Amino acid sequence: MIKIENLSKVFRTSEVETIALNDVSLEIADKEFVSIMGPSGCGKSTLLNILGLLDNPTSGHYYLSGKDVGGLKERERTNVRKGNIGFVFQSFNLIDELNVVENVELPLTYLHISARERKQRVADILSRMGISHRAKHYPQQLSGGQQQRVAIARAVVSNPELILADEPTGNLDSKNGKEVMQLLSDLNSSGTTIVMVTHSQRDAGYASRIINLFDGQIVSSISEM
Amino acid sequence: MKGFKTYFTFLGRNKLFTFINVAGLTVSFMFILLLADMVTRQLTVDSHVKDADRIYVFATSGGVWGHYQLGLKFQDRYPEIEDWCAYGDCHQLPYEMENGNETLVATSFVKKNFLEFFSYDLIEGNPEEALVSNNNIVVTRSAALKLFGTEHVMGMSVNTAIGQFVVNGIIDDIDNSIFPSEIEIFMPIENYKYYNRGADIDDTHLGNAGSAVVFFKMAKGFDPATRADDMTSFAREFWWIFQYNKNTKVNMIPMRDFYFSEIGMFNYLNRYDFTKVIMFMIAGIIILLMAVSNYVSMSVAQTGYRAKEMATRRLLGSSRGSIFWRMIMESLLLTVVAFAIGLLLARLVEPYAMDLLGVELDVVGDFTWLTALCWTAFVLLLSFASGFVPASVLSGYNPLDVVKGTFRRKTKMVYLRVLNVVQSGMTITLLACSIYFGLQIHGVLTAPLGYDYGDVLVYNRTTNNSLDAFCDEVKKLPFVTNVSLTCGTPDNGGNNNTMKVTSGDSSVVFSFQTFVCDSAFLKIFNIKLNESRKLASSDNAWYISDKALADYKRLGYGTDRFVADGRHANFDIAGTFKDFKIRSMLSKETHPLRIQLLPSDSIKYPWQVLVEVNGGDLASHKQQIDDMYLSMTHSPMLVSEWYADQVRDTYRDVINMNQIVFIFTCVALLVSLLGLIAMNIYMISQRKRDIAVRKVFGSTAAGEQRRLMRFSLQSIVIGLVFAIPLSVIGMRKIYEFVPFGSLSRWWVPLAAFAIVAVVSLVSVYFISRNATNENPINNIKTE
Repeated sequence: MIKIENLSKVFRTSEVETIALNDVSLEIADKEFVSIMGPSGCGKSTLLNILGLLDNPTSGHYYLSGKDVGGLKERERTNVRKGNIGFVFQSFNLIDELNVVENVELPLTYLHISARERKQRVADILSRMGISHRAKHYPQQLSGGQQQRVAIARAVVSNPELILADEPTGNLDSKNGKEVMQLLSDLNSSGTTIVMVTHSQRDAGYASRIINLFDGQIVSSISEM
Repeated sequence: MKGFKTYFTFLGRNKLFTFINVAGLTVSFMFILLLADMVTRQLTVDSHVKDADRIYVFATSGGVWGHYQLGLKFQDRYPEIEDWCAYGDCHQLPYEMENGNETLVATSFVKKNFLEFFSYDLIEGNPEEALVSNNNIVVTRSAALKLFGTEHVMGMSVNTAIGQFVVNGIIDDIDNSIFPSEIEIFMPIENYKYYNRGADIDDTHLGNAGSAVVFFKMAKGFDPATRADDMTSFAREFWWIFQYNKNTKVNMIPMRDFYFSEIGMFNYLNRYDFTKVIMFMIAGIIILLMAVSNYVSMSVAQTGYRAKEMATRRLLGSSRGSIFWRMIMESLLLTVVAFAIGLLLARLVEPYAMDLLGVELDVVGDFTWLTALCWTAFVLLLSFASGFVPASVLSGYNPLDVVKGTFRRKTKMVYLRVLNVVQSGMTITLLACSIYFGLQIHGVLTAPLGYDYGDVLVYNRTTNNSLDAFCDEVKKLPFVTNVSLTCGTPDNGGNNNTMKVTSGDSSVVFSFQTFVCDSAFLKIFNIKLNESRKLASSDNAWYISDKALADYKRLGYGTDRFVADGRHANFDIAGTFKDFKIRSMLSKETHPLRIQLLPSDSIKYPWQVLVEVNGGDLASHKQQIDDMYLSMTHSPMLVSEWYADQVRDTYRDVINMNQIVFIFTCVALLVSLLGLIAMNIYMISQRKRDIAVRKVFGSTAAGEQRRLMRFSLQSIVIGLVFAIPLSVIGMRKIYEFVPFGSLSRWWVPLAAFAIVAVVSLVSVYFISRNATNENPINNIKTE
């Protein structure tokens, strides 16, 4: 599903040049669950941003479902991302002014899905995530675990082929963290490809493969036996 | 200043914020300074005059009438009159200086006690001797420089058409007084008769009943209103204006009230409309409030950027109070800078403001210790008011925020939203009124008058000498196309002749506006005769307007002869002409008119000479004809003006008011726009993460921009809802002021809405462009 070749990302300011990713090559198969680990500043989030088409690489190639998407313009990236990639963040990134239903519904509105279908799909996913009873609540009225469930619901409501999760349990206690990882694991079991950045060895254990990054390079890629 | 280093760095990095805040406050200060000076001056006119509360202007129920003899007679009759003074009008008189050059100087004829009566101090000269002799003059500082090139002119002499005059007093220029600041020379009123025969101080018939304004200083505790009936009876014994009109009554106006009175008068004295003063005060306060609101909005909008600094300061030991006062000091600094620039700007635009407001202003010159103290207090108060909200917000940050890294703090947008809606509504209202006002003025100035005119110079007769020689000479100038002698022009309305016409058993009042002129008058104004019976020119043959003929026929009369009661009232109808508008387009009625055409040499006492020129260098033509007028008529003074300027003067009040409304509209639009920018900066700074999240999930930069613009448009639409009734009220008021054309221009508020919407949306588009185009990961990372 994902193939990157000799991918590099360099951040330049007037004074310094930082190499975030250095000649990285990687393949992720369809329906695979991959964890990316490494110390702070090793390039995990940069890699995830590029995979999520939020950023372009400085050099190298990125193929998503066989299509070279590494050099797309902003609008083209948005079009590819829409409905195909779901995101889960450490700090949830829910919109405070929207309630649970509206937050989850957000990706569907950009896909121009009819109101009736949106309503049905949101209801289904909330039920699946076990937070239907919180449908009319606002983010600040929810616990951290509930907020992350909503964020996951938002990520999967458009049935994306790929979910990118950036430290999804980073702001959660162990109980809620475990539940969130179980949800991601279930999603993977039902056919969704998942790429997750994490510092947690335990969370990484849910993945079928663990990739270790150091100073912008892949130092190991270990598959679960 | 060292303590403000971070503030200066912040201002330097946020140039737009700095510019908008300083610009908004500066423009507001400029207005406030001008308007405060204007209002203060209006409320302190002639404050230097001692015993002003005991001085009264003589007036009747019909207007300010006066003559020197009136003062003499009243003082003899009423022992309560402690003293009195007379002021003749101000005229441009030619003075010949020692080098033989002649120059026009504004001269006022006054009773010899004028300076003492109105508490004017001499810069040079003995107050006991000033104006004592008939050939003395007192000059202002400006006149001294203009005439002699120096201020020290005591004992110097100048020649006029009526003799030589010696300077025996110098005073400061007249300022902030009912007496015009244009006055350059005071001359004893004894000389007025040489310029205006009816103003002769020995004329016991008080022939020119409007030749002077008479001021009475009453004994302490005496209220002339208590003797008004007796004064009226007394005036009726000797003065024709009381004898001709039995309803005329004496109406003494306190000098303190005179400046804001609306009573009619023949001599020019400064006066002002108190309603305008109130209106400008309110406008100034509104503009200031809008600027302060904007400052608060902008500062609150920027709190996010300074939260880290303030939280860190608190973490390192700074108290909440010290941060609060630090913010207030920053506000003071910005306010002082804005005040200083505002003062400079006010000084720069002062001449234009004076012209527009029709008053003298001297923002810097009027600074005293008291006003300086008031302004200092005002700036301090404003700084506190402006800085209070941002200071409260920033001093409230918890040092724990630094540890947690959570600086983002959301405050309700309701305040900014309401402010924006109110500002949008006010701006739409002002703009609608301004557009409507402009349309009205344009309509008035371009409406068909029923006559045309080109470049016509109007010379008011200022001499008793014959004008024939001047007319003959001026006709020879190659650029002169027509010269006419006339009594009256369409703009001044000519003379009024009211007579009674018998209709059945009763008599009807028939009122003509009358013009006596030569045939060139018809050419100059392109007035076409409908019908001419070719009657010989005579005192008894008149052309009448269609309206006059129709009114006359309605009374049951024929079309050959006009028959009315009284001597000289009957005349032959020589023909008719199309109606034309006299005076102002704002008077709705079409007045019956009549014109008597006489050969030029038969018009013995013309009021005006009209000289039509054929384009070219108009200023040069005017100068040449002015010189010719003065030299050939031996007139002691000159009153000449372009006819087009006279027409515009007729509408000066409404044109000025229109310009003032327009300027306030522009300022309101600017301030409102700044408010909108503040709100959008705030909104965008608060929503950057939301925009990023939306973009991650499929929204585009354009889509986010549309969303922000839609949000702004909502405010303007809500503003329109209450702008419509306000606009209708404003337009009705303008229609009362300029009753012309149509009141029902329903599209005007919508046009104003469209303009405000376009300006706002374009500004939102540019403000939000960077934020919406930013890579979303930048703003998601910050959490």
